[in-house]
Amino acid sequence: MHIADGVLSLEATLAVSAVSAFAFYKALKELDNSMITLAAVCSAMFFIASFIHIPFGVTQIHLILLGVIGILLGLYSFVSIFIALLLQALLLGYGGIASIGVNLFIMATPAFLVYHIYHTDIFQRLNQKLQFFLVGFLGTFFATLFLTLILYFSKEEYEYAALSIMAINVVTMLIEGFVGMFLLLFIQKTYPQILKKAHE
Amino acid sequence: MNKRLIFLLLFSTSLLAHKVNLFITHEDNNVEIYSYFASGDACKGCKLMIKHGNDTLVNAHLNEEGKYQFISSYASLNITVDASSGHLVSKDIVLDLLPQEDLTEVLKKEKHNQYLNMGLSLLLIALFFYLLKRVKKNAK
Repeated sequence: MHIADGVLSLEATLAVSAVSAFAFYKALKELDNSMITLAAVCSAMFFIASFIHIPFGVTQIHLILLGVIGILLGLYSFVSIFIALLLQALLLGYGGIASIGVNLFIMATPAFLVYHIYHTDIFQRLNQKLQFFLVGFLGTFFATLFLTLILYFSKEEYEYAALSIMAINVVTMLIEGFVGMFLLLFIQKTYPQILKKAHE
Repeated sequence: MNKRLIFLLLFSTSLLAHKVNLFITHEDNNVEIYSYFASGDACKGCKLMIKHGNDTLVNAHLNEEGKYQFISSYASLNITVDASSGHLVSKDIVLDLLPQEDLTEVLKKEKHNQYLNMGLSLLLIALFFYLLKRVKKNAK
Protein backbone atom coordinates (compact mmCIF):
# COMPACT_ATOMS: atom_id res chain seq x y z
CA MET A 1 0.00 0.00 0.00
CA HIS A 2 3.05 2.29 0.19
CA ILE A 3 3.69 4.51 -2.85
CA ALA A 4 7.39 4.76 -3.62
CA ASP A 5 9.28 7.96 -4.41
CA GLY A 6 9.08 9.13 -8.01
CA VAL A 7 5.80 7.39 -8.78
CA LEU A 8 3.51 10.41 -8.52
CA SER A 9 3.76 13.73 -10.28
CA LEU A 10 5.20 16.63 -8.27
CA GLU A 11 1.87 18.49 -8.28
CA ALA A 12 -0.05 15.53 -6.89
CA THR A 13 2.62 14.87 -4.25
CA LEU A 14 2.65 18.49 -3.07
CA ALA A 15 -1.12 18.88 -2.98
CA VAL A 16 -1.77 15.67 -1.04
CA SER A 17 1.22 16.24 1.27
CA ALA A 18 -0.10 19.69 2.19
CA VAL A 19 -3.37 18.16 3.41
CA SER A 20 -1.46 15.53 5.40
CA ALA A 21 0.86 18.13 6.93
CA PHE A 22 -2.10 20.17 8.15
CA ALA A 23 -3.85 17.12 9.64
CA PHE A 24 -0.59 15.93 11.25
CA TYR A 25 0.02 19.36 12.82
CA LYS A 26 -3.54 19.49 14.17
CA ALA A 27 -3.30 15.94 15.54
CA LEU A 28 0.07 16.57 17.19
CA LYS A 29 -1.21 19.77 18.78
CA GLU A 30 -4.40 18.18 20.09
CA LEU A 31 -2.90 14.84 21.14
CA ASP A 32 -3.82 14.39 24.76
CA ASN A 33 -1.20 13.14 27.21
CA SER A 34 -3.41 10.24 28.27
CA MET A 35 -3.60 9.00 24.66
CA ILE A 36 0.14 9.01 23.95
CA THR A 37 0.77 5.45 25.17
CA LEU A 38 -2.07 4.12 23.02
CA ALA A 39 -0.74 6.13 20.06
CA ALA A 40 2.71 4.55 20.57
CA VAL A 41 1.20 1.05 20.69
CA CYS A 42 -0.82 1.70 17.53
CA SER A 43 2.28 3.04 15.78
CA ALA A 44 4.19 -0.13 16.64
CA MET A 45 1.19 -2.27 15.63
CA PHE A 46 0.98 -0.58 12.22
CA PHE A 47 4.73 -0.96 11.76
CA ILE A 48 4.69 -4.69 12.53
CA ALA A 49 1.45 -5.41 10.64
CA SER A 50 3.00 -4.06 7.41
CA PHE A 51 5.52 -6.92 7.55
CA ILE A 52 2.93 -9.68 7.58
CA HIS A 53 2.89 -10.52 3.88
CA ILE A 54 0.34 -12.89 2.44
CA PRO A 55 1.16 -14.30 -1.03
CA PHE A 56 -1.67 -13.66 -3.50
CA GLY A 57 -1.14 -14.69 -7.11
CA VAL A 58 1.78 -12.84 -8.64
CA THR A 59 1.70 -10.25 -5.92
CA GLN A 60 1.69 -10.02 -2.10
CA ILE A 61 -0.73 -8.32 0.23
CA HIS A 62 -0.03 -7.12 3.74
CA LEU A 63 -2.01 -6.06 6.77
CA ILE A 64 -2.30 -2.38 7.76
CA LEU A 65 -5.02 -2.44 10.48
CA LEU A 66 -6.10 1.12 9.71
CA GLY A 67 -9.68 0.62 10.87
CA VAL A 68 -8.58 -0.71 14.26
CA ILE A 69 -6.09 2.15 14.70
CA GLY A 70 -8.79 4.56 13.56
CA ILE A 71 -11.39 3.67 16.18
CA LEU A 72 -8.73 3.69 18.90
CA LEU A 73 -7.12 7.01 17.96
CA GLY A 74 -9.33 9.04 15.60
CA LEU A 75 -7.43 12.13 14.38
CA TYR A 76 -4.35 11.10 16.40
CA SER A 77 -3.87 8.29 13.86
CA PHE A 78 -1.97 10.88 11.80
CA VAL A 79 0.77 11.08 14.45
CA SER A 80 0.90 7.35 15.02
CA ILE A 81 1.00 6.38 11.36
CA PHE A 82 3.44 9.16 10.42
CA ILE A 83 6.11 7.91 12.84
CA ALA A 84 5.74 4.33 11.58
CA LEU A 85 5.87 5.44 7.92
CA LEU A 86 8.93 7.62 8.55
CA LEU A 87 10.86 4.74 10.12
CA GLN A 88 9.74 2.31 7.43
CA ALA A 89 11.02 4.71 4.76
CA LEU A 90 14.29 5.54 6.51
CA LEU A 91 15.34 2.15 7.81
CA LEU A 92 13.62 -0.39 5.60
CA GLY A 93 13.16 1.26 2.23
CA TYR A 94 9.36 0.98 2.34
CA GLY A 95 7.67 3.88 0.55
CA GLY A 96 9.97 6.90 0.50
CA ILE A 97 10.70 10.23 2.14
CA ALA A 98 9.36 12.38 -0.72
CA SER A 99 6.13 10.38 -0.85
CA ILE A 100 5.61 10.21 2.92
CA GLY A 101 2.92 12.91 2.85
CA VAL A 102 0.96 10.98 0.23
CA ASN A 103 1.35 7.70 2.09
CA LEU A 104 0.24 9.41 5.31
CA PHE A 105 -2.88 10.69 3.56
CA ILE A 106 -3.65 7.26 2.08
CA MET A 107 -3.24 5.47 5.44
CA ALA A 108 -4.33 7.96 8.10
CA THR A 109 -7.36 9.56 6.43
CA PRO A 110 -9.19 6.19 6.27
CA ALA A 111 -8.46 5.66 9.97
CA PHE A 112 -9.95 9.06 10.74
CA LEU A 113 -12.98 8.36 8.54
CA VAL A 114 -13.61 4.95 10.14
CA TYR A 115 -13.48 6.61 13.58
CA HIS A 116 -16.35 8.91 12.57
CA ILE A 117 -18.35 6.22 10.82
CA TYR A 118 -17.97 3.96 13.89
CA HIS A 119 -19.50 6.63 16.10
CA THR A 120 -22.61 7.18 13.96
CA ASP A 121 -25.95 5.97 15.34
CA ILE A 122 -26.59 3.70 12.35
CA PHE A 123 -23.27 1.94 12.84
CA GLN A 124 -23.79 1.53 16.57
CA ARG A 125 -27.12 -0.23 15.92
CA LEU A 126 -25.36 -3.04 14.01
CA ASN A 127 -24.40 -6.40 15.49
CA GLN A 128 -21.06 -5.97 17.26
CA LYS A 129 -19.21 -8.61 15.25
CA LEU A 130 -20.41 -6.97 12.06
CA GLN A 131 -19.34 -3.57 13.40
CA PHE A 132 -15.82 -4.82 14.10
CA PHE A 133 -15.63 -6.59 10.72
CA LEU A 134 -16.66 -3.39 8.95
CA VAL A 135 -14.08 -1.40 10.92
CA GLY A 136 -11.31 -3.57 9.46
CA PHE A 137 -12.90 -3.77 6.03
CA LEU A 138 -13.61 -0.06 5.64
CA GLY A 139 -10.12 0.99 6.76
CA THR A 140 -8.57 -0.89 3.87
CA PHE A 141 -11.40 0.00 1.50
CA PHE A 142 -10.86 3.75 1.96
CA ALA A 143 -7.07 3.39 1.80
CA THR A 144 -7.37 1.49 -1.49
CA LEU A 145 -9.90 3.99 -2.81
CA PHE A 146 -7.62 6.96 -2.06
CA LEU A 147 -4.63 5.15 -3.51
CA THR A 148 -6.57 4.33 -6.66
CA LEU A 149 -7.86 7.89 -7.08
CA ILE A 150 -4.44 9.47 -6.47
CA LEU A 151 -2.78 7.17 -9.01
CA TYR A 152 -5.63 7.54 -11.49
CA PHE A 153 -5.51 11.33 -11.50
CA SER A 154 -1.74 11.64 -11.14
CA LYS A 155 -0.53 10.24 -14.46
CA GLU A 156 -2.41 8.89 -17.46
CA GLU A 157 -0.17 5.81 -17.62
CA TYR A 158 -1.42 4.67 -14.19
CA GLU A 159 -5.12 4.52 -15.08
CA TYR A 160 -5.29 0.76 -15.64
CA ALA A 161 -2.81 -0.01 -12.87
CA ALA A 162 -4.91 2.02 -10.43
CA LEU A 163 -8.01 -0.01 -11.28
CA SER A 164 -6.16 -3.29 -10.90
CA ILE A 165 -4.96 -2.22 -7.43
CA MET A 166 -8.60 -1.84 -6.42
CA ALA A 167 -9.33 -5.37 -7.69
CA ILE A 168 -6.31 -6.93 -5.91
CA ASN A 169 -7.20 -5.32 -2.61
CA VAL A 170 -10.73 -6.71 -2.38
CA VAL A 171 -9.14 -9.79 -0.81
CA THR A 172 -7.09 -7.61 1.55
CA MET A 173 -10.27 -5.82 2.64
CA LEU A 174 -11.93 -9.12 3.54
CA ILE A 175 -8.84 -10.38 5.39
CA GLU A 176 -8.53 -7.07 7.24
CA GLY A 177 -12.22 -7.30 8.10
CA PHE A 178 -11.79 -10.68 9.80
CA VAL A 179 -8.45 -9.77 11.45
CA GLY A 180 -9.96 -6.51 12.71
CA MET A 181 -13.01 -8.33 14.03
CA PHE A 182 -11.00 -10.91 15.99
CA LEU A 183 -8.53 -8.29 17.23
CA LEU A 184 -11.25 -5.95 18.49
CA LEU A 185 -13.21 -8.81 20.09
CA PHE A 186 -9.98 -9.83 21.83
CA ILE A 187 -9.34 -6.25 22.99
CA GLN A 188 -12.90 -5.94 24.21
CA LYS A 189 -12.65 -9.18 26.16
CA THR A 190 -9.22 -8.63 27.69
CA TYR A 191 -8.68 -4.85 27.81
CA PRO A 192 -12.16 -3.28 27.52
CA GLN A 193 -10.82 -0.06 29.08
CA ILE A 194 -8.82 0.62 25.87
CA LEU A 195 -11.97 0.68 23.79
CA LYS A 196 -13.81 2.71 26.43
CA LYS A 197 -10.93 5.20 26.54
CA ALA A 198 -11.11 5.55 22.79
CA HIS A 199 -14.82 6.36 23.09
CA GLU A 200 -14.33 9.16 25.63
CA MET B 1 -6.39 -11.63 -21.75
CA ASN B 2 -4.54 -13.56 -19.04
CA LYS B 3 -1.21 -12.07 -20.11
CA ARG B 4 -2.74 -8.61 -19.96
CA LEU B 5 -4.05 -9.30 -16.45
CA ILE B 6 -0.67 -10.57 -15.27
CA PHE B 7 1.03 -7.51 -16.77
CA LEU B 8 -1.41 -5.23 -14.98
CA LEU B 9 -0.86 -7.04 -11.69
CA LEU B 10 2.92 -6.88 -12.09
CA PHE B 11 2.79 -3.23 -13.12
CA SER B 12 0.51 -2.21 -10.29
CA THR B 13 2.71 -4.10 -7.84
CA SER B 14 5.75 -2.23 -9.13
CA LEU B 15 4.08 1.07 -8.29
CA LEU B 16 3.85 0.00 -4.70
CA ALA B 17 6.95 -2.13 -4.39
CA HIS B 18 9.91 -0.91 -2.47
CA LYS B 19 13.65 -0.44 -2.79
CA VAL B 20 15.28 -2.41 -5.62
CA ASN B 21 18.53 -4.26 -4.85
CA LEU B 22 21.18 -5.55 -7.21
CA PHE B 23 23.45 -8.52 -6.62
CA ILE B 24 26.23 -9.21 -9.11
CA THR B 25 28.68 -12.09 -9.21
CA HIS B 26 31.13 -13.27 -11.85
CA GLU B 27 33.28 -16.21 -12.71
CA ASP B 28 35.88 -15.44 -15.35
CA ASN B 29 33.89 -13.39 -17.86
CA ASN B 30 30.52 -14.86 -17.01
CA VAL B 31 28.54 -12.20 -15.14
CA GLU B 32 25.39 -13.15 -13.23
CA ILE B 33 22.92 -10.46 -12.20
CA TYR B 34 20.13 -10.87 -9.68
CA SER B 35 17.75 -8.08 -8.72
CA TYR B 36 15.16 -8.13 -5.97
CA PHE B 37 12.90 -5.84 -3.97
CA ALA B 38 13.37 -4.96 -0.29
CA SER B 39 10.60 -7.47 0.47
CA GLY B 40 12.86 -10.23 -0.93
CA ASP B 41 10.79 -10.77 -4.09
CA ALA B 42 12.65 -11.14 -7.36
CA CYS B 43 12.46 -8.25 -9.83
CA LYS B 44 10.64 -10.38 -12.41
CA GLY B 45 10.89 -9.17 -16.00
CA CYS B 46 12.48 -5.87 -14.97
CA LYS B 47 14.35 -3.86 -17.62
CA LEU B 48 18.11 -4.34 -17.69
CA MET B 49 20.72 -2.15 -19.33
CA ILE B 50 24.41 -2.92 -19.33
CA LYS B 51 26.85 -0.29 -20.55
CA HIS B 52 30.57 0.06 -20.99
CA GLY B 53 31.30 3.76 -21.08
CA ASN B 54 28.75 5.20 -23.50
CA ASP B 55 28.27 1.93 -25.40
CA THR B 56 25.16 -0.06 -24.61
CA LEU B 57 26.08 -3.75 -24.49
CA VAL B 58 22.79 -5.27 -23.33
CA ASN B 59 19.26 -3.99 -23.41
CA ALA B 60 17.05 -6.80 -22.13
CA HIS B 61 14.73 -7.99 -19.36
CA LEU B 62 15.49 -10.10 -16.29
CA ASN B 63 13.92 -13.55 -16.30
CA GLU B 64 11.11 -14.83 -14.04
CA GLU B 65 13.66 -15.36 -11.25
CA GLY B 66 14.93 -11.79 -11.52
CA LYS B 67 18.20 -13.05 -13.02
CA TYR B 68 20.31 -12.48 -16.13
CA GLN B 69 23.62 -13.98 -17.30
CA PHE B 70 26.01 -12.72 -19.92
CA ILE B 71 29.60 -13.01 -21.06
CA SER B 72 31.46 -9.74 -20.77
CA SER B 73 34.54 -8.84 -22.68
CA TYR B 74 34.96 -5.67 -20.63
CA ALA B 75 36.18 -5.38 -17.05
CA SER B 76 34.27 -2.20 -16.14
CA LEU B 77 30.51 -2.05 -16.56
CA ASN B 78 27.53 0.03 -15.61
CA ILE B 79 24.51 -2.12 -14.76
CA THR B 80 21.04 -0.61 -14.41
CA VAL B 81 17.84 -2.39 -13.46
CA ASP B 82 14.62 -0.46 -13.93
CA ALA B 83 11.55 -1.86 -12.22
CA SER B 84 9.52 1.02 -13.74
CA SER B 85 7.71 3.85 -12.00
CA GLY B 86 10.83 5.34 -10.45
CA HIS B 87 12.22 2.09 -9.01
CA LEU B 88 15.69 1.96 -10.36
CA VAL B 89 19.06 0.71 -9.24
CA SER B 90 22.35 1.39 -10.98
CA LYS B 91 25.86 0.19 -10.18
CA ASP B 92 29.29 0.87 -11.67
CA ILE B 93 31.39 -2.23 -11.27
CA VAL B 94 34.85 -3.52 -12.07
CA LEU B 95 34.60 -7.30 -12.40
CA ASP B 96 37.90 -8.11 -10.70
CA LEU B 97 37.04 -5.90 -7.74
CA LEU B 98 33.64 -7.48 -7.09
CA PRO B 99 33.54 -9.19 -3.69
CA GLN B 100 33.06 -12.93 -4.05
CA GLU B 101 29.93 -13.27 -1.96
CA ASP B 102 27.41 -16.03 -1.77
CA LEU B 103 23.87 -14.90 -2.65
CA THR B 104 22.29 -16.99 0.10
CA GLU B 105 24.68 -15.48 2.64
CA VAL B 106 23.98 -11.93 1.44
CA LEU B 107 20.21 -12.46 1.56
CA LYS B 108 20.55 -13.99 5.04
CA LYS B 109 22.61 -10.99 6.16
CA GLU B 110 20.06 -8.57 4.72
CA LYS B 111 17.23 -10.41 6.45
CA HIS B 112 19.19 -10.22 9.69
CA ASN B 113 19.74 -6.47 9.19
CA GLN B 114 16.07 -6.06 8.47
CA TYR B 115 15.18 -7.64 11.82
CA LEU B 116 17.73 -5.38 13.54
CA ASN B 117 16.22 -2.33 11.86
CA MET B 118 12.75 -3.45 12.89
CA GLY B 119 13.91 -3.70 16.50
CA LEU B 120 15.60 -0.31 16.25
CA SER B 121 12.44 1.19 14.74
CA LEU B 122 10.29 -0.10 17.58
CA LEU B 123 12.72 1.42 20.07
CA LEU B 124 12.63 4.74 18.21
CA ILE B 125 8.81 4.69 18.23
CA ALA B 126 8.86 4.21 22.00
CA LEU B 127 11.47 6.96 22.38
CA PHE B 128 9.53 9.41 20.22
CA PHE B 129 6.31 8.99 22.16
CA TYR B 130 8.16 9.06 25.48
CA LEU B 131 9.73 12.40 24.54
CA LEU B 132 6.40 13.67 23.23
CA LYS B 133 4.79 12.80 26.55
CA ARG B 134 7.51 14.68 28.44
CA VAL B 135 7.22 17.72 26.18
CA LYS B 136 3.43 17.81 26.59
CA LYS B 137 3.75 17.39 30.35
CA ASN B 138 6.25 20.24 30.62
CA ALA B 139 4.14 22.45 28.40
CA LYS B 140 1.18 22.21 30.81
